[in-house]
Amino acid sequence: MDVTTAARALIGDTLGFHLIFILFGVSLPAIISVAEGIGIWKKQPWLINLARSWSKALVILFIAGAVSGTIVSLQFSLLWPNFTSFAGKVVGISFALEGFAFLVEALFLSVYMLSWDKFKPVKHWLISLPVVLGSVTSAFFITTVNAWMNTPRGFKLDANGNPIDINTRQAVFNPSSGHEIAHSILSYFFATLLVLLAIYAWKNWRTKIALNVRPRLDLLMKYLAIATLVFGMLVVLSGDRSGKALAKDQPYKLAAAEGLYQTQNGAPLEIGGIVSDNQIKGAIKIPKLLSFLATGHFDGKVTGLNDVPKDERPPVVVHYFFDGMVAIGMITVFVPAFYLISSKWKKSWMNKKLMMISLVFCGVLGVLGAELGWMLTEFGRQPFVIRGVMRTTDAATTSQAALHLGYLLPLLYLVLFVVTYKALKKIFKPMEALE
Amino acid sequence: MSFVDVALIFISLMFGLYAVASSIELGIVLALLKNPKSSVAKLFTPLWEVTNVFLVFGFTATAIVFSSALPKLSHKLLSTLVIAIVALVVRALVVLKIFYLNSQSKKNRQLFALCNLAIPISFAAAGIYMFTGQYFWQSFNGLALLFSAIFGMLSIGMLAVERAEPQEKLVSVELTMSVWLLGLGSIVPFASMLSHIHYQKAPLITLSFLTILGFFAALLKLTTKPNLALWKIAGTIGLVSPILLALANRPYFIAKDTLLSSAYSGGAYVGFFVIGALVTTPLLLIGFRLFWQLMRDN
Repeated sequence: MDVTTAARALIGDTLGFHLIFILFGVSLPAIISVAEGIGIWKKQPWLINLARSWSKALVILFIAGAVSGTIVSLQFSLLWPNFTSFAGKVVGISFALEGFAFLVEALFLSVYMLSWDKFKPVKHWLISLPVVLGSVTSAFFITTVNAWMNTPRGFKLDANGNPIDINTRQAVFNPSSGHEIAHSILSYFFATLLVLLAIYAWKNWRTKIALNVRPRLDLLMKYLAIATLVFGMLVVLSGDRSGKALAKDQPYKLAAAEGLYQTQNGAPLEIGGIVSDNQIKGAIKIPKLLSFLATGHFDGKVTGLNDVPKDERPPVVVHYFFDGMVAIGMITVFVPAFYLISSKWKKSWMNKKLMMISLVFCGVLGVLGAELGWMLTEFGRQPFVIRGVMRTTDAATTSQAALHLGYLLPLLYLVLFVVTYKALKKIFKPMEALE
Repeated sequence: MSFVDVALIFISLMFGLYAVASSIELGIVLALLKNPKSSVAKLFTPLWEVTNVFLVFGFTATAIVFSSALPKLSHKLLSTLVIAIVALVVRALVVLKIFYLNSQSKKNRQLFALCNLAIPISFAAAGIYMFTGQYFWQSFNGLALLFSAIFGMLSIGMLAVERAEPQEKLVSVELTMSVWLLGLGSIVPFASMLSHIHYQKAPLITLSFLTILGFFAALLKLTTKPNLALWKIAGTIGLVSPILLALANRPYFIAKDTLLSSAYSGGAYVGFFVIGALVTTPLLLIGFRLFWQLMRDN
């Protein structure tokens, strides 16, 4: 393994691991705050207890997320010094403001946890607001950096390739910022709600539910399914915006995701198939659909890989990530919708084993979908780390120490994941609040 | 005072705050290792994890303000900081095991103490490289600084525990503190003369003055037991020494190698950073006040 591959494996492992926890870190504070707020407003103590129970899980997830986040910040500088050196000059402000947001979130989360039973309900709920503010703005700022890596703006290059004439506003609010922020943050909420729904579906399926608990469990699952459906629809809408923006600003990524070789009007959408020799074979082709999805017109022009220089083409393997993400999106919107429909018109189906298994499955798929989305954006930008400006091979460290770390960290993450899961299982009692 | 100086102070302060917090946590766990039923157990909480933000802030600010020096830092210091990275993951594992899986075994506490020492020491070793231009084992100056860092952490930790629970006195804190301050206050300036680096004199003289004062305070307490708030003196020195060493290192960012002027990435972010600080400071002040109040009540 060479140093660049080791550095790629390391940051990939760390971010892949970190993403699982930030999904919850970004969205769970807001969900908890809403539950507690409604509980206080409507005088429903079980909702306040529910918020308390979820907050215990949040703290455990936060510990794993905070440590992987700290390591991400170290790895950016130590494994990708040329990237961070360049990016620091142009979008360093986003890193800095993300730091402030993280500080606000961490501090107020500690206060929030310490002050259960110590502050009056409204005061305690007010403490949750800075946690929500910190978590969402933290995600906002760090996503602007990723967006800038996809569509770098706000600078010129001097003769030595250094950034000059920096316009921070243009860099931070680059063409990809809006849709990437919206799509990723909405996806985090969607995935978290799917996981919460899956947890209660699992309990509904695997444990005997007491008669006094049943109405609350059904009500909670219904609320969660409604929220999941709302966020699912928003994710679909923002995904459509992202697809159109991709066709305009990152056509190479869309071409790779669809294995579209020739630039053409009325391009077909390819579903499934096998990627071989950087081409998709055996896919189901739906005529003109890609053009419609990318441009809004069935005869719209979609750029193919032939218009991208050979040494700048992303790997077509991203087709799997794209298809996987879209398929997961469709399944995970359909299942909660079906659950809601059955709760209204076919109550006997509502708590059936198959329905519960499907909801549990959706929880796992939600996290997997977010991971695939992130992999699509990262692999789809290759061979560049900053599209068109800095190649991945030029961004990595020259230190051989990366090689040793490359073997050790994934193992440690695996252990940390198992321990986090065990801690969650021990501390987080999802049914407690419903009893 | 230039923006570069302000940035140096801010970055050093962040690492200093992290080191002091880690030291206190280290003191708590050492007290628990000595006496598992100690009353300091109530201070042993996962809430200390919040102090990770100082590390993130320190490192992010370094990466932003001195981004031009990152390729060199990475090449020279990755192997040193690998220890901190591994220790951070191991510490998170142990935190989860101790606090959420109730695995309060001696082995876990020992591992926790080791990680709590390893993370700041790994960063201190990186700082020593930047201050001397050599790895810590390559110069007398570097070794003296490393031992000062270790003894400093032990002193601050043990003094904090003693302050919280006076009956929990661990070995001779005053003696440990004397060793620390002797190294920091006397050996470093002397050795710096031998290393032929023209450090800025004012910060080093200030540091020596502070540490010699602390040294005499520790000796006085050791011999006559006056009512001296030694933990405050130790904490202050622990916080200001990284700042003074960074300022003494000027005009270098990495001694003998990289000038601050060539490491500095430009002041484009001053306005934004100030806005960020202005927006969040009132919120953070409220947060820290509430946090402190709740911790004290606990």
